[in-house]
Amino acid sequence: MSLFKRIIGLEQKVEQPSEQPVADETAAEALVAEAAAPAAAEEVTEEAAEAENAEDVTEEVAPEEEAEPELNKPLELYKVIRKKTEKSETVSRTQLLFQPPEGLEKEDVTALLDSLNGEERPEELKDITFVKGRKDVWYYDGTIMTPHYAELYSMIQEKDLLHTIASVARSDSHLYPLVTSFRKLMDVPFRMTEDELLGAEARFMLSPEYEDIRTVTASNGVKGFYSTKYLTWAYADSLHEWYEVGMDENP
Amino acid sequence: MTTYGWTGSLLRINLTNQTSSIESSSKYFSYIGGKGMANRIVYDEVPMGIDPIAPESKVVLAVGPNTASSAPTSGRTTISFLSPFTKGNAIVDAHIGGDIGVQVKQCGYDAVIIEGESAAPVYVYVNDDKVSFVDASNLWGKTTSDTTAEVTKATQPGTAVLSIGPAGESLLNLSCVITGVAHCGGAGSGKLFGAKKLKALAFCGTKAVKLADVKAVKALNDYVIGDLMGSNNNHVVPTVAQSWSEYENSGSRWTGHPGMTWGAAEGGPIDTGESAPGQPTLIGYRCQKAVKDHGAIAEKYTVKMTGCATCPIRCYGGVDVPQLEKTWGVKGSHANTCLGNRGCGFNGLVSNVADVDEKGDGAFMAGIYAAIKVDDAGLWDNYGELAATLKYFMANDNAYMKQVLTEEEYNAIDWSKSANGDLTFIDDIIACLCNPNHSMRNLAMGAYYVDQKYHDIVGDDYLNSSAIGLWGVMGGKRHHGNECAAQVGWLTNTIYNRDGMCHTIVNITGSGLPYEIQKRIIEDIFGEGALDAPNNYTKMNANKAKFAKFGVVRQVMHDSLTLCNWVWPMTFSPRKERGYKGDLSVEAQYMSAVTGAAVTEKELDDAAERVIQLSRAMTVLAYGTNDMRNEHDTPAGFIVTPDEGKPLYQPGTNKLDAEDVQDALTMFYKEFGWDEKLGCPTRATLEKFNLADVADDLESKGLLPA
Repeated sequence: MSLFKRIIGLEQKVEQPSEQPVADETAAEALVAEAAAPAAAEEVTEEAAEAENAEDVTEEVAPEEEAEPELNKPLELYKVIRKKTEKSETVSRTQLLFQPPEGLEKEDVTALLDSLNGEERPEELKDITFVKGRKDVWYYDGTIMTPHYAELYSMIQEKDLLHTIASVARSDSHLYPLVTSFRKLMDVPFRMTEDELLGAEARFMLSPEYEDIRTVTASNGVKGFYSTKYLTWAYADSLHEWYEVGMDENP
Repeated sequence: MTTYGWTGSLLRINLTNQTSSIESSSKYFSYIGGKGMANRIVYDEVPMGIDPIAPESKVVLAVGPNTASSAPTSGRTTISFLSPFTKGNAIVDAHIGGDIGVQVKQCGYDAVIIEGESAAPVYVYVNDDKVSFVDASNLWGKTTSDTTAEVTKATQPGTAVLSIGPAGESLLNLSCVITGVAHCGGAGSGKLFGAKKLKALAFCGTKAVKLADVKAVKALNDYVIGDLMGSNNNHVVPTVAQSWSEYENSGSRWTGHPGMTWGAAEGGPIDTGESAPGQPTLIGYRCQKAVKDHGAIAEKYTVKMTGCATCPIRCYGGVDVPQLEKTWGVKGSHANTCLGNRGCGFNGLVSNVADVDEKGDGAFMAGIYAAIKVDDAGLWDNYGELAATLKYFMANDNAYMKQVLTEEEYNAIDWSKSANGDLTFIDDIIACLCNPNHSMRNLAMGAYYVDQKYHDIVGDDYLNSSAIGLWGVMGGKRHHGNECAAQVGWLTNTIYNRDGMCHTIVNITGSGLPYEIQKRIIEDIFGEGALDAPNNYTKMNANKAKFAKFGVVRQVMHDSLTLCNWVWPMTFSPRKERGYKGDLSVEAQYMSAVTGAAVTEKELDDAAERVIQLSRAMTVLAYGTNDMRNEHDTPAGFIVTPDEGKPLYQPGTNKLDAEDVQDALTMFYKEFGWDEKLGCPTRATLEKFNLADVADDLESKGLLPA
């Protein structure tokens, strides 16, 4: 399990399915149901999934001009996921089930995705891996996308602002170490607004789950989040000042 | 017999007689080239301790065996001479990029020695073996950009021009030479050119550089660019998460990413996109340096990145700011890097600059404006020290400045411009600095001499203050010192008679990789405890001394080969499949492939260390004392003054312990085989590096340790 993963609490599919089974059929179906329910997944609605698939799946995977006698279903699924990965995106289980690739039924997709956990994994899907988020399971081609990026991207798609900020701040505080500047969170791939970040700063104060998340302000006025699990205030203050001001003055 | 890599020739230019001669350079091959060769020539031909602008003083330009070989980032030139601006007027190097080095090499020279003094302004045009001395009376007083344009028009297409501006002409200590209207070689080089009435050097070469093993050089190029090289400073992690990356770090200089453009590129914005390792044609998009230096506002003004010959990284941010001409009457096309992109701090002399089109663009334009003006004048900043000194003397309603200037001089300046956002204040200050009779010039002598002259005014504060930010009281500006790597960074600074020009260490600590990965790789090479976490350091140890030594040895190696130390060494790699470990043997592989001499990594390190031994001995000779510990290696006070509420050896500070600094010096001296009390080379060490003649020289002057 990657250090990042351990810190942010996300689980991901590993290359050896037997080592760490992630989602059995029941769990996967539950995830789908949860993701599809408006109360549980505010943003990943059926309409949104269909709209996205209409754009990203149906249009991008052109139908074969001459129908094959037997459709290579694993290959069709691979193509869809690969296309997404090439665009630096992961694709959710919900989306794949609601809008299956051309020629595949929901049941086909379910079976193929579930096969990724076991020894019956089709050869065509050997490069496909996934991360398990709080609301959904997210698939990508592991040969061109890192688990780290997939985790980040998937968190962003799930739009749990506090969880995303806290996860990144804990990871940054522990790994590099550095303070997660508001500038980072306002840049790609996060694209959060300053209002969202200021709102999150206030909400962190009220949530026991995030009691370790604090902010520090550099002398240029830029704020950043850090985790008290890994950094003291004095350390966070010095690191943030260095990144925001010192580095610029000592190029 | 064919010589590979080196040309085998050096050009001697005598400005007094306006003559030139070509001599063999082979006796200097053992000093590698570049800095090593230039330092040895200065040692052989210039008496240490003389006035840097005395008639017998010389300037030596040298390139290395790698120059013009196609090796990535090999387009560097070292210019060696006696420092006009730091204590002791000891040996100092200016480092310059652009195309000048390639042209020198293709003219057929490993080094160019400039000696004598011209009676009248002159520029020298070198076209292979033909050397022309051209009257430069019409150029005297012109800016560096105008001079470059004039000389370029008068010479062959493709000529590289190296010129001085009014600062150098007026013999200002903090002046430079500039090539390509952007690339600056500092350390006071402009003053030495000015003293020789040498307005410019121009080189246009047509000769081939012979390589011993062309295929091996090509293979190395592919390996370095494909597997080892990241971005500027060899930062191997992008600033924002990319689909191929495991890490991201906002401090990195790998600023290119999807959505980040060259906004004013010809034909429309160009997205810098993802540029994963192994995509050599995309490597030039990794460093969006205009944004890194100026901030996000620079993106839409960015035309492209530019840089030095043979460099795939392109760390010069080229911008075009039409509003600058409309508002301030200055054509806003400019390219530079780092401090040069902000006029070496001169933009900070003016506050409250009005915005033009959007919030913040006034300050951005001040940076471009200052950069253009400072480069045109050929001013050098001593890594920001000049602007810091001016601000120091302007503080508290010009409290100190009033004591520096005559009443007439003071009243002639409209000081209100500074606070009122009037950028022409920068012009006014530059005019004072370039006026041979103006008292403000005394603030551009270099911090050591400023303190000497005005100590009764500023007391001990100026030289020791964080506002000036010297690594040592000998006048060298801190440059990737303790703020970068605690004792290790500071120790690297002490090797120089100027700001610490070593980027080896900051390329590591600033790489963007998580600390634990950096630590694993560095400890694997130098042992436990060699690399502290950022702003969380421990007491000095022997492995840190080894690491610091590695830093300066590689920097000197790069300036001698040449390779750019702003990118090399390849300590880390952007490739996760390599565990992010780079390859420190590549320089030796290049040396072998280019020259045909089979050189190991250890042998090349030793050759570079030999150059350090020589330059340290030259510093002892210039100082007239071998007590380097107390006369040269003394830290500025702010470095050893703890910050309030941030105790030493606790997370949150990079300030050093004064006692520990002395231990650090002792361990560092030991690594170099120097006298551990004095910090000077011993006979045994000099003889080990085949420098017995230098030991004899020191001994004859009573400068060898007992």
